[in-house]
Amino acid sequence: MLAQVDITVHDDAQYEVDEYFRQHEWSDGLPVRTPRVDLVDRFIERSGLDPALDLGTLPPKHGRATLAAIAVNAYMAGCQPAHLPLLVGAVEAMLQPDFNLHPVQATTNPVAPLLLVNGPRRDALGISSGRNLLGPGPHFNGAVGRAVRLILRNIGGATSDEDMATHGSPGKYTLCFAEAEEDSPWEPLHVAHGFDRSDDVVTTVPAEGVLNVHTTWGNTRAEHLLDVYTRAVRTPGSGLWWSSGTPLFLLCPGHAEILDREGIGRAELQRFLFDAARIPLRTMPLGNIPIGNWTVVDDHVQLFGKPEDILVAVGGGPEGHHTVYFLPFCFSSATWARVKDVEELRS
Amino acid sequence: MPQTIRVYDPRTYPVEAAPPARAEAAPPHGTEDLRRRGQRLGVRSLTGKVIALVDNRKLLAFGAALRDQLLAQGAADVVRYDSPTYRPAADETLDEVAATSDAAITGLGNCGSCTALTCQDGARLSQRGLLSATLIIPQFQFVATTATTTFGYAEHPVLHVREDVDFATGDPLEREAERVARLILTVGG
Repeated sequence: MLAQVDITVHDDAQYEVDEYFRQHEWSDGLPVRTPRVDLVDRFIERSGLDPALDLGTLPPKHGRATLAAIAVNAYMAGCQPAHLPLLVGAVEAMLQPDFNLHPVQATTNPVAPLLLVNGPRRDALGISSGRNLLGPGPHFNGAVGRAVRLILRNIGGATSDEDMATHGSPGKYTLCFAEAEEDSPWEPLHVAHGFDRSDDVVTTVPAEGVLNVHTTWGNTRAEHLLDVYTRAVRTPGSGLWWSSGTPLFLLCPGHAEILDREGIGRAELQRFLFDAARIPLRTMPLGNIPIGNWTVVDDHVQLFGKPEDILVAVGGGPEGHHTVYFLPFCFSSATWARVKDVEELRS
Repeated sequence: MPQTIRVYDPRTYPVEAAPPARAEAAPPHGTEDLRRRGQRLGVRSLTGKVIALVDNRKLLAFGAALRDQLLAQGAADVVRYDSPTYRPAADETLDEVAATSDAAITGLGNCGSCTALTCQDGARLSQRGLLSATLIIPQFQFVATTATTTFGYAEHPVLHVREDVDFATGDPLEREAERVARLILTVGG
């Protein structure tokens, strides 16, 4: 049962409620949609879901992730009732052991869970895969991503006494988008990981920031892309010391087309990047880190465990100018969850 | 005219378990900053005792110096056990520690996630009936308190080490190792 609080407001109700939430660390510091009890109850009712649905507890403070609690935070973030199954899937994915949510919540590294949506309901849910998919717009990318963050704060308890991020990251406000499946020459990311094309799937990726990987002005061949991709993948973030993590290359459709027409598919690209992500041991800073924390092969530190750990998806504006690279958080791995429909969640 | 709006509290974590934000400053380095709460190590003298160091791979040179100091102060043996940095220690590891040691030190907590996990490893050793304490740098005391409280061991001893211990060298490192070794002994006293 969720607690209820009476807030007395005077001249500027929205401001006063926001200030109350901000001071109590019930929000992310930005204005929220006020979770009035009657309005949230109606929101849940419209979703058709059972508020008592219980997904388990979220670290570090192990609050219980009930559908009601998820709904309150989704409402605050600006979501629609139809987004609740998506958020249930996101929580299920983050609760998988490989995601290792507790370190993600408490680390000093600038990591935030990235939510990547695949499947036929992306458009109906208003999750954009096109231009400015990481930025503002009329889509629901921001609201859904923000709901994930509020869930992690208010249910998991990753508030300022627990979230030890040295700098944090803009992704800790929101980080959600869909894959441009129709504009990709390859099978969608979720199909590559064993799901049916007709499934709606969320991929949660522990992401440290975003790197612009840029080509233009006549650089139209695969070799040009592979050159700049190599430079990006050797920027390992926290993965520098641990030879692990699941980074994400998000290619614009134009870049994917350039690679595809020269016979380079997702698997070939992953293999190339895995081999490129090897740094000569002699060039690594020594520090006070035992070499045994790295995987060293032929006097080279191998940054990732296997080629398939380097995720490749397609999205963004169509012109062949940009790929963005999400650095890995080396203590966690990407996880997947099928988004169940309302009937399944009620059964 | 004032009006009252009834809203849902969006939190579901145990609020009473959360420490007040920023209410408690870290104690000054160099003082007896051991938190004497409840359980003590009970190792009044290290002579003839076997001390386990459950190392999340962050003790590094300090861990080696601490081992030398514990031996110098009379421990029969100091055995290092390896545990993952960002995941809980394996049950098998903690079972072995509990079966073969007189006391255990877990560490090092010098970031949010590793502090939580190494504190929980210490609490899990307490569950096994072994006296234990955890080494952290002071900045992560809040994380340590939450980790042990939510695990049901709010009184788990946490020892503060200087914040630069993972890159200190020479005399400062040796002095800190000596201080912490004596602190472990004092906890038992």
